[in-house]
Amino acid sequence: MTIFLLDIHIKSMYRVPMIRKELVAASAEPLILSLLAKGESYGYAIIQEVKARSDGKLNWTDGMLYPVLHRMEHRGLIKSRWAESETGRKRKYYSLKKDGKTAMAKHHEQWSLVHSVLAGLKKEQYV
Amino acid sequence: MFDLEQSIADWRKQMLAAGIKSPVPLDELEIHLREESERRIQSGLSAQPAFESAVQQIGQANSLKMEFAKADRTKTVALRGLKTLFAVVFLASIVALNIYLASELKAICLIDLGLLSFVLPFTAGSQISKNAADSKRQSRIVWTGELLIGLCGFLINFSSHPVFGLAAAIVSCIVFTWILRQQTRATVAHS
Repeated sequence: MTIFLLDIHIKSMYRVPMIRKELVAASAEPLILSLLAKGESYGYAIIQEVKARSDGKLNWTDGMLYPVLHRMEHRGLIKSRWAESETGRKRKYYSLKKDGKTAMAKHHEQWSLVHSVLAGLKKEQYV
Repeated sequence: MFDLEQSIADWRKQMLAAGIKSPVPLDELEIHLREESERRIQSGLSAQPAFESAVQQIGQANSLKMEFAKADRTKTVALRGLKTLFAVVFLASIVALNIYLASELKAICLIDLGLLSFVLPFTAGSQISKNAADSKRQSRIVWTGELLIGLCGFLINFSSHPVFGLAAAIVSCIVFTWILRQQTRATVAHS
């Protein structure tokens, strides 16, 4: 019993808190749009940047990014082109379209609203 | 001895077997796999564990297929909207033509006949055969539609009265729209 409790304690202390998959899925599109707003990029670089910016807490299953990119392309939010990298490797580069910029602005507005409501509620708890 | 190229070829076969048929996503996934394997090798892993962990990180073929299917469904829905719009415009234009050119109905009806009884059903039919979950049922729908449209064409050609021509053209258009509707249902169900 003691060992069991200790195990829970160790896990809760040292395990990196991962973000729930529903939230990861919901945030994929705004994150991709925001990253592409900085300039064109390709799948692998997008994943690495998201991992780096979230300290590895936003952990996408790598392959899942590509269906999302394809879906966004079908919806006319982004466009793609094949090009060779400086190492000679072929890569598919994605960039933002006009509709993508509009969608990004909407996402920012909505996520900011959610964030401000949560922040306000949190602040009230400590007053 | 671990052979990276052979392992990638085997991985591609697994993906194809799981249903990721389209070469574009598979090529993209392969490039990703290579980059991730290289990064892991650079961080100190040997080639085989680096490749295996990169494969695991990419995800299971079945879940990837389901995600790609969602992307295709988005495309199908857009296509369905376009086809519905096309059917409505087509219906309206045929009706308008028949009303406006009642006196020259005979000539117009020949064009209607050609379009309604061959070109458009053939297009709809060929789409059904590609996507149908139940090909026999879809085939029956196409043939019934063809027969009805053919009958309407017959009426149009052999009736001198413009009302018959107009009625037959409307029936033809309704049947054609119905075929399209069945076809899109089959496409959505299949995806």
